Amino acid sequence: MRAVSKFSLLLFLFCGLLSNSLNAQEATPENLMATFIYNFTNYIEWEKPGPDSIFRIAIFGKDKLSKPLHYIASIKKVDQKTIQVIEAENQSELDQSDIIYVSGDHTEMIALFNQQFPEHKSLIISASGVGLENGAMINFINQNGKIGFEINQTAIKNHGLKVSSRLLKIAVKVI
Amino acid sequence: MNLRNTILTLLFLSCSLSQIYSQNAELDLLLEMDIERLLETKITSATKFEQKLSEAVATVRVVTANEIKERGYQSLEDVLSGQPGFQFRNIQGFNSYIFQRGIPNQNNLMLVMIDGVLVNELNSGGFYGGSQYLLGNIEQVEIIYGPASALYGTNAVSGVVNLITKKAEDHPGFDISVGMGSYNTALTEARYAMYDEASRTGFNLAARYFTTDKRPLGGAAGDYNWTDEMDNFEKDFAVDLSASHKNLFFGFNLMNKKASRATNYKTTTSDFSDHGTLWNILFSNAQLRWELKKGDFRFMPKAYYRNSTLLPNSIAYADSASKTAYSRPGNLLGTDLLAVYQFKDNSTLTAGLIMERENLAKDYGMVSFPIDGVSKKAPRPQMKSYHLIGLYAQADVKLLKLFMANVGLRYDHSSYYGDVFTPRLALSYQINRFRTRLLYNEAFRAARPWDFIDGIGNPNLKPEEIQSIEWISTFRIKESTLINLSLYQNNYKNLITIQSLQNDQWYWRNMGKVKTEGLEFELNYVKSKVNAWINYTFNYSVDDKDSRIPEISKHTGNAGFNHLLFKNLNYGFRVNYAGARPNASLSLKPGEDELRYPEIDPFFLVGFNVSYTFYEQFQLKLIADNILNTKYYHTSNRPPDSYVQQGRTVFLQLNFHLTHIDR
Repeated sequence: MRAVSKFSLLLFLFCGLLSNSLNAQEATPENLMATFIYNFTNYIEWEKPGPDSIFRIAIFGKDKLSKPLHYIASIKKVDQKTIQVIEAENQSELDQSDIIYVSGDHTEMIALFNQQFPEHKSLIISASGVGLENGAMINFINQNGKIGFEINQTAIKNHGLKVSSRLLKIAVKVI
Repeated sequence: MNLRNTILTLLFLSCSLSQIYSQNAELDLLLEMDIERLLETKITSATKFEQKLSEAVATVRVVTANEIKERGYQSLEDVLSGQPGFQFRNIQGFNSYIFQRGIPNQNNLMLVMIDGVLVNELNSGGFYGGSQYLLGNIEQVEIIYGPASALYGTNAVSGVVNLITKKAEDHPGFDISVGMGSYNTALTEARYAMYDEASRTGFNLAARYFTTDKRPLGGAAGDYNWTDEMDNFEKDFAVDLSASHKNLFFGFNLMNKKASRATNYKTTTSDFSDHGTLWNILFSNAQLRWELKKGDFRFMPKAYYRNSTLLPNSIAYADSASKTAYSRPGNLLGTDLLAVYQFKDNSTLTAGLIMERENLAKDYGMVSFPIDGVSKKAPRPQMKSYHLIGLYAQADVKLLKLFMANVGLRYDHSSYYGDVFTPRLALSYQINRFRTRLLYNEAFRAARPWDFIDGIGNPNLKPEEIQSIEWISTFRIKESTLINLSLYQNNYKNLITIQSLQNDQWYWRNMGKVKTEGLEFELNYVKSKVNAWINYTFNYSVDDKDSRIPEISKHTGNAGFNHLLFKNLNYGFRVNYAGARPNASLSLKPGEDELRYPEIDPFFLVGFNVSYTFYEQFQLKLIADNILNTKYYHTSNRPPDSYVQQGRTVFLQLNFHLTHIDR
């Protein structure tokens, strides 16, 4: 077993030096959803790009997504735009946002927001059993321990956004 | 430095070397992944209970449905052949034998389950290798390495293989596959599943028919062990049905394997006939399970029924004048009441109660009849009932932030093998991409009633026992590359093995002690268009006289890759290597020293697969095994000295897939 010992020691030295982050076969739901939200920007086209060089993501309601989204904003850009993450406390802070994530406790707010700002161009994302019914465009669901999402294609279109066929293809449900 | 010290030293070293904990490391990895890969990522907290209980206490490897499909696996041996730690004795007949981690056996040191219910044959305790498993309906194969009796009771000595079937909610739609290839091999598989989201109700029904004539072994092709009249076939039929409504699940599996017994005996030097035999065995399992969740508490009761019956038209052997039919029924009814409580800090407490009652044959039912006369069916043998009560508990306790301890104990009370306590202990440490575990496990294999009477019988058989210490480490380099290393030392006592006597008589005996030291190393690389793997296993098993255990090679290895070329074309190569290994022999006589067994030569096999997908729903696939047409052998513990294996084979398969999508 001497050869085995030497071999394993070398291997561990090698791998120990290379290790620097968690195994991603599993991930926390907040990290996964935040990454999905960032990924959605590759598959959604906003009709009129915003006037400035900021891409705004608003979080309505206290949510664990805030921390990972802030981290993503610090290292990533969307179409060369700097990402800004806003923890919104009232609806008036939302209408300039490119993406609005509404926490599970505030899903009913989506319908009110859509009524108040019918012309808004924001992608509204929720994580609730009744997200799409309340007017969210993308809704996260838990599928046997994995995160999936549903898409309300009509709502996306009605607000001047375009969704790629690839995103529609991998959605759990499209209405 | 002995292995135990090595393990402890390396554990310390590697823990020290794992550095720089990055708070956002998980996010960094996720951001490297494409969106399809994100969909495949499990949620840590939600999967806590679904994660196999055994994962904390053993090495667990997974073969996915995609790997089964891509590589054209047709049998349980195929599925395991690319994994580290497995060696085989394929007698090219009614059964084949799988050795995990260095101990030859009659498939009774390992458990095989379908959706968590055992399919090991009840009378012998050994599972059946072969092509009767409905692989087209498998979601994934989970392979547990090492002793696991603290969770699964008797026979979980070398490991456990759990075949997880596809569920309707994940795979609604219709699939059909047809294929044909060398040696008159033909396959038909079909599956239909539907699921209603609103009522959370669905069902999945799948069936398989597989037939093959295997490699002709008559005359010189079989090293003159058999005559030119030899027949050697396998015909398998399987059905899986599962249905679910909310938290209620019902599953049913049926497998019927019909195979020739011609390869069991030499026919050129004996009176045995090598045609007209049939081993016709039927396995059927049913289970009903339910899950109740209240806050952090889960209660998961399960009731199950198992039946494994050697059907009475089986012809165990034939000679020039007569045939002999065997039958051997067996059934079992059991419940498993599992409860899990999760504490706020993610520590968990798991406990369960198992109650089983099994009816086993006291012996084979047997009848002989003239070879030219009317066929007779074997009578039903006398049956005897046994019962088992098992209690198990385990605690997963979080220590500090990075350590997890797992302590488990199982108590079995059997009406025929008495009381057994099986403990285990595991310590797990994870930081960044590095995870390491130090495990102590025990296991046992109780002799089955059949073992006591097989051959001339031996009423003094004791349970086999094993103590195992293992160190497992896993590293991930970026998102694409995974490295696993296991070092283990297993000490077996009272190993039950066959002892031959003169005049073709035999009995089972406790052989004494066996020590196995081993290393398993694997590297897997997965990118969107390429996946590649390489693994190596070192295994050194010796008995208490320091003689090498037969049938086990010191060195085995596997490697391969698959590449998606263009949009619809996927191809891959795979290689398997096994070093030289001592053959087994029935020629060992009482009083003789251990024989220097004749060695089986090392072999190197190359396989190839290519598939082309068209019109999105059709796939044409070509699988070629042993493309260099290497002549190679497996060991034998039967009268033939060794078994020549399949030459080059080619298999062509057409798959059709239709998915219902609610758009």
